[in-house]
Amino acid sequence: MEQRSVWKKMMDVDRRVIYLIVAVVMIVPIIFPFDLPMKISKRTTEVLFNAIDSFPEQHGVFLISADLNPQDQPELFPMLVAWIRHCFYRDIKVLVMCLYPTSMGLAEQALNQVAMEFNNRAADGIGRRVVYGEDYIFLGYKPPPIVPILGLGENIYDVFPRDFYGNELKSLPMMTKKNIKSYRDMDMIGSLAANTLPITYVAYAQARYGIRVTGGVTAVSVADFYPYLDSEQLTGMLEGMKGAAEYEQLLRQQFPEENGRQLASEGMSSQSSTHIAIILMIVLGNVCYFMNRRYETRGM
Amino acid sequence: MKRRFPMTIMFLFAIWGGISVFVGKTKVHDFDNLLRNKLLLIVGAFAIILGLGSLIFHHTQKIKRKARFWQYSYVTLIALAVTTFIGLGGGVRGERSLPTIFGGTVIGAHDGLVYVFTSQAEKNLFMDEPSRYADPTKAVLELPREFETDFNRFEASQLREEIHLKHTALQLKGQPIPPMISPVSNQQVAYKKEFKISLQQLYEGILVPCGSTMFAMLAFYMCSAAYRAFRMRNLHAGVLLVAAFIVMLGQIPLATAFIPGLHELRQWILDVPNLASKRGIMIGVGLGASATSFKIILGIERAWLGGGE
Repeated sequence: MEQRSVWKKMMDVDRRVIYLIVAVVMIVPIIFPFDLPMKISKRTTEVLFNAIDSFPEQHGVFLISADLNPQDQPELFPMLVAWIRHCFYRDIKVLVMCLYPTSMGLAEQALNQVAMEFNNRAADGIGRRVVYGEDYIFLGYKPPPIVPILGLGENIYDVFPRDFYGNELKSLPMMTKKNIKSYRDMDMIGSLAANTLPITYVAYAQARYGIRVTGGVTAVSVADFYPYLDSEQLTGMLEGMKGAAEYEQLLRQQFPEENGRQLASEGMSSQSSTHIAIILMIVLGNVCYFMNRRYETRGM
Repeated sequence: MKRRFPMTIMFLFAIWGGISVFVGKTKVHDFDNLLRNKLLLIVGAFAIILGLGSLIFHHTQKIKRKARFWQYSYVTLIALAVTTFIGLGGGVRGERSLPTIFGGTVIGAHDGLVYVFTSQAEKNLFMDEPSRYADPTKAVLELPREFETDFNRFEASQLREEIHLKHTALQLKGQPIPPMISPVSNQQVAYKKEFKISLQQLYEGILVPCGSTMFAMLAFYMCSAAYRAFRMRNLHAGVLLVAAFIVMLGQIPLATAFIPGLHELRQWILDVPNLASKRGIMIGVGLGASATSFKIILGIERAWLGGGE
């Protein structure tokens, strides 16, 4: 009887105790992060990294549809930063656009942050300087999603006559030098979103205009994209914070001068410990459930 | 007529959309682009007016009736008014004319020269027609052409930081400072303490922390729910639990490093059973959506018109 009450008590534990455990497990690794051995996912991260790495240097153009919101920031923002860094290292031109108004702040922040990193390093004589309008352009936001997705396949200047800062798009050197007019002049689209926008890009941009599409998605929605990955309609993909951390690792391996903040790698220690806590709680919850049921069936 | 008119419009546009995909680069195709790039945006703009009206009506009614949690409707309405004022007046970066920006220095570049303006409105006027207003004798700084776009987009503080960094780096290395990037105008491009209210500030100060907080709270609820509700009650629940267990464990780098085959097992679950079920669902959904679309186009399905039969 005594034993049963223990299992029962454990099953009915106050939720605040669980919240406290989660808080500790989550916060401590943020304060004291630890390095984790990362195994690169060959089917997703590596495929994408190699695809971007194979763009023609100085001639490649990567269109990033940064549709991340503040709530997806921990998972998707490091992906955006890593993609921009990779492009800048390889002198690939970057176009960033948003399909939601709440994404613009983070997209601009990522571009400014990486541009500043590169320009600071260039001031120290390492690497090259990146210039707005020559190496990257922020197109801003255009609704509703289907309009710019289809419109960019026809003529980019119809969809975005001006960039986010009000400069006439045709006047920016990157657009004129590379003669960028539509998807035909780009190498790939990278769609960062917590919803199914990468699939919309596959359905409308890839199926109709033949451009390669990749995605950066939250871990919880990864399973939805596997049919597209299997059919190679998605050229690799980044799966949540782990995917972003793997990409950061690949960047560090390929470009030893990379010294920017590794947001995803830093976050992995906290995410991993929380995952372990959830797994242990599922196990413990089930043990309590079975023990309690055992005592009940015995009529104790 | 009330029903026939919207149904006719919908039928014509649906057929048009279908045809334009198959006709290649013709006038039909160009007109389809015009519809998508212009008309759809105009329709969208009207939808925003409709949405705004609906939002205001809903919340004012809630306040009038003192419905449940009516106090929160005040928060929505005040937030709407404040955001609209700042958005229309201050713009995304405080670049508009209403007094939402106090202090600060407005700068802009044209033809390799940097100019300082007394207000954003003055700068806008200048940038719209620089050939008319540009006076090289009034420029405060000379810079290489390649930096011009950077100067136009950077805030005064960022600009100064950029120049300073470049300047210091060259000085430290003992290299000569090219006159083109020399911050000769440190006093002239005086950066005053700036107080600016813009949509960007609302975004960074309110939306980002609120959004992140709401999402972060999910972790606590998920843990609590996993402990209380994720039970192996029968075989199906057991299979689900084991699959979830492996996929979640495979997400932990430490586990994949120490448990051989875990990474591959997780990948197999995603590649085989997950993929098979997803494909089945997607094909079913696709067929269902096509059938419903045809029913709508042919006028068989009319629920979208609203108002019951």
